[in-house]
Amino acid sequence: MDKPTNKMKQYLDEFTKGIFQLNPIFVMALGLCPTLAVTTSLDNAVGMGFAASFVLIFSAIFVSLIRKIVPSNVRIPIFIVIIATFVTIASLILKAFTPALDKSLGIFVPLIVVNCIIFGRAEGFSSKNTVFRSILDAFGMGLGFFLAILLISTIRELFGTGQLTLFSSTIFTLGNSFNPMIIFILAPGALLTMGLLLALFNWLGDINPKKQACHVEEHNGDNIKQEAE
Amino acid sequence: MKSSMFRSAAILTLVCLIAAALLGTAYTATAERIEQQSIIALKQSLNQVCAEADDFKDEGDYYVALKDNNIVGFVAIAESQGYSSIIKIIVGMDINKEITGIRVLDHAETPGLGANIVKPGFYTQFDRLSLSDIALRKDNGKIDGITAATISSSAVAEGVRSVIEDKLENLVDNNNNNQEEQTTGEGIATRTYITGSEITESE
Repeated sequence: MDKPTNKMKQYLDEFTKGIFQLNPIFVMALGLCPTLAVTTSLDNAVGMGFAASFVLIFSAIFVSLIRKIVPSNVRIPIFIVIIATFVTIASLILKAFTPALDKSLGIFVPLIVVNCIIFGRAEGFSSKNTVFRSILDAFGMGLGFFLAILLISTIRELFGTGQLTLFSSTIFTLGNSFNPMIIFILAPGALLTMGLLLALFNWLGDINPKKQACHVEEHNGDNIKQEAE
Repeated sequence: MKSSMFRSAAILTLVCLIAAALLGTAYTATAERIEQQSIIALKQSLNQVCAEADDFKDEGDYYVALKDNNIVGFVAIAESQGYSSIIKIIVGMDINKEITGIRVLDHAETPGLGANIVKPGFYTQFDRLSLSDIALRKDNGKIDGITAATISSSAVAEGVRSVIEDKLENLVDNNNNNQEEQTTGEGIATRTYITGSEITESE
């Protein structure tokens, strides 16, 4: 505990747990609504990933800063006000600098306010931990969310349209002989892709030697989810 | 008990005040840029649907396309019920009653199907068409619908058609009736009689 290497490892764990063991989408299954809705294209996923991470990081900073003076009976309205503030700022920034992206994300930007990942981390982590740890946690969770929706949207866009485009330039194409499976960019495709990936991650979790540790933390995640809902 | 209630209220109020201050700052910092962005977006689509023009005059529910201060066409915005949303289309027409271009401004059609109405392959089909040709091929028009998105495709055609019938055609007619010979001489049949600089309309 006192050794600096131990401390470093703890901090590193705080960061990496959001990417693998506690991935918000694939392990905790939080914030699925925007995940299913905006993953029709890579552009959307990148925009959503940045916007949600921005909100996640700043609300983590503020929530952990005031964690000692917040009375527990008004903590939920306070967290929501903080989160809503940063969501509005994020949406103003999107509108001012990337209007096209703002248009395609539409209603899902304001809906970040009720994204369970952000509220879940504020309630379950930032309100109980130091600012530094909360920032690490938020970065990890943000990155985990980002990578997850990037993966889902890559699969959906690739099979649904036969090509991948990022900021209106084609970066990969399956060629003309490939007949796009339109179902992938429709709503059922979102659920199918999501379901298969969840199964894959669960299977990977099962063969993981760190299984025990995962399960304890998973329970944590479940509690958070219930409260957030 | 009472003091803790006041404390809660005070802290909540404080957090809200800080949030309001942050939001106010963010709003004033971005307001001008957001305004500019919407003007840029409008300018861009006006230029796209009427490339010939170098200036546009806002007339409320339509735009007059000007080139060297002469009227070269009109632009109006159409709305049409698509498959899952109201589709907003900006339509440009020159004084020969030919479409100079259309663009879809706003829609929420099915991604991968109806949403393809925003692709050049679809909307460029409308270029240089005149009123009678604006319909899908199955309705004896000249527009190829998008596979598996007939409703969205025909909604665009319908919207373009109705805005021309209701608005653009009248604007062009009125304009041509008010023009002097030299400007109407661009290949338009005109029913205007000009006596000096006075204009008498035929009945």
